[in-house]
Amino acid sequence: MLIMVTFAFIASFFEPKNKIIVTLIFNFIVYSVLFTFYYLLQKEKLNVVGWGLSFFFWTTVAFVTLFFEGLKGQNAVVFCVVIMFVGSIFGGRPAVFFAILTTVWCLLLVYLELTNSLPASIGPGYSPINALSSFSLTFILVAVLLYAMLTSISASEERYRILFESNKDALTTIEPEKNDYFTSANKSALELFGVQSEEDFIQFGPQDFSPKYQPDGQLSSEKAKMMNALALKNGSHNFEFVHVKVNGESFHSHILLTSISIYGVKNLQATIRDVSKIKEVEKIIEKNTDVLKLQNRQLVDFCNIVSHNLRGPLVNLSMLVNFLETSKNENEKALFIEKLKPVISNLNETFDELVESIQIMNDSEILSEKINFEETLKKSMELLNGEIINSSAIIESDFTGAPNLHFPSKYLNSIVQNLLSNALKYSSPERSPKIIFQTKKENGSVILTVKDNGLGIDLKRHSNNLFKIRKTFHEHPKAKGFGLYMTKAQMEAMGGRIWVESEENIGSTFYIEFINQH
Amino acid sequence: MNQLKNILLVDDDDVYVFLTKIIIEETELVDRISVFGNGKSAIEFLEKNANDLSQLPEIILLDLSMPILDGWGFLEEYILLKPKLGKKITIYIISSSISPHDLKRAKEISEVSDFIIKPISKMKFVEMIKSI
Repeated sequence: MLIMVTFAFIASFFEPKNKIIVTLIFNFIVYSVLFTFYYLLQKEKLNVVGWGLSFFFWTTVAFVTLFFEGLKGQNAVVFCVVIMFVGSIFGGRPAVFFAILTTVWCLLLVYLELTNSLPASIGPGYSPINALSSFSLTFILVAVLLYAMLTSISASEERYRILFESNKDALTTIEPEKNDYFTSANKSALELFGVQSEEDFIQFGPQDFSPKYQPDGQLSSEKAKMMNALALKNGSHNFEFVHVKVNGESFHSHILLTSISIYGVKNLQATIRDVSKIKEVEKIIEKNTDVLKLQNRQLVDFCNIVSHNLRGPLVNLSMLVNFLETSKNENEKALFIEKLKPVISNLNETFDELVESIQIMNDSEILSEKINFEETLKKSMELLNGEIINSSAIIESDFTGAPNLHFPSKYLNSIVQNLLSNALKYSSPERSPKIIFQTKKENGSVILTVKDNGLGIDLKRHSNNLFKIRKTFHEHPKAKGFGLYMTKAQMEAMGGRIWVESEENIGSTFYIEFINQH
Repeated sequence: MNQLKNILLVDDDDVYVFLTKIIIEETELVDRISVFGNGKSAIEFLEKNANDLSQLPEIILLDLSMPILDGWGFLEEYILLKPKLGKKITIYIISSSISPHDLKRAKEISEVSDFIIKPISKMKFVEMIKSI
């Protein structure tokens, strides 16, 4: 190579018209550019080199064809090929741009030659030595650059290939224009899905490694398309997806899609992480959190009960005792002693209720059995027979939707009796009570509804306190505020729910959901 | 010391009302004590006598846990009613509750002058009247 450079340099001294300066400047520019590119290649500024090289070749063509008549026709074609070749290595755009420019230039030259209007040469003119010098120069230039380029590219390609291959994250690329098929996968990706080789892998797309539906109910294929579109639109996109391995085993994955361009073609690079274990832990945490939340709420309720319902009578007791101690009047003393009785009975009652409700909270081992709604309602109606007759209530029931229940019979008896007794107690004085019991099945649960036409409840005001102990909402001598509290405690102990819809003076509908009734 | 014309005692606990009445009467600082068993009847009384200065109380002693309309519900209604009332009324919450949550909630209501935990003593009551 060095010999050729020297040869070209010496040859330039034998220019027929002795335009040594011109040749020297020309050679100087060529070599400076050459070494600049070589330096840039080492720095891996491929894009700059791509544009620069293509531009340089083109100006060379233009220069040579204009000033050195002898290199006119055939060299233009050679350069054109070189530009396209070099440009394509660095990624399409420079090549296309300069190829078009070169073609236009060549056509212009052909036109000028045909019309014989080519301007007279301003350069040194044609000579065999000049031609040889220019030719060898071109040859060296191309050879050196190609060598530098190829070694540089293969080195960097190797580095990225290793990065891709040895990454412990499963990496793949997807080409949206090819029906969203995979176009490559690293070793971890093959292992994750249980596929033997990359050749096998690229026969599939992500939708082939998915169940038909995702947990959110979406079709896997549709969700995948949507996620791809989002990544293409936003540059990248994070989401969770359930995948299926070749052996049928499914797993939760976290996926990062990044939109990339390979030779001008839009691709998506997917990083797939198996998060099944995290998901499992998450589920346990979620379940425990729910239990904790419930227990915490029960604790707060319990504190309130102690503070409101136990402390009240205790304060009364201590005040009464103080008065008794200081009173000198026998009649007054007798009055205070008389007042002690209701306080103590109130305290006893609250205490018993509290014990009962705490037993429910701790009664997690209580056994469920098959019970019949019809029979349970009959039992409650017998117990409340007096109230039913007195209020001339009409009680209807339709248990065809779910005639039986798997539940502790003690609880169901208490729940049905409480709801029936409430509906009778808070009936409207304007109309005779009509109470409708109904059951239906829904998503593995049985839902019992109890609808009445009674007084109704102002939910805006009382919804927070409705199921709390010792909270009453109507002026009724028998209102104690214990029934709904117990019902709720029993339902929560079994993982169920109770809620209500109500309108004042129209009536209330209580809903009770019993879970796990398959 | 000021003599108060009227005090409203809003509490559903009969025994407590009985004892508190004795304490207040013993101070001989109050002419009349009106008792209401829940927030709703107390509000109805205030609404009815909004312009009757002789009926409106100087002080309301308010319990929290009551049926039909509890102390909080009473306060909500009272805030709406307040601009129509012809007299400045001081409200004390007197509750058996020792819950910090209740205490905090009461502090957030500017209409409430103080939160007193039951039982109320004669001394505390005299202090209360003095501060008006």
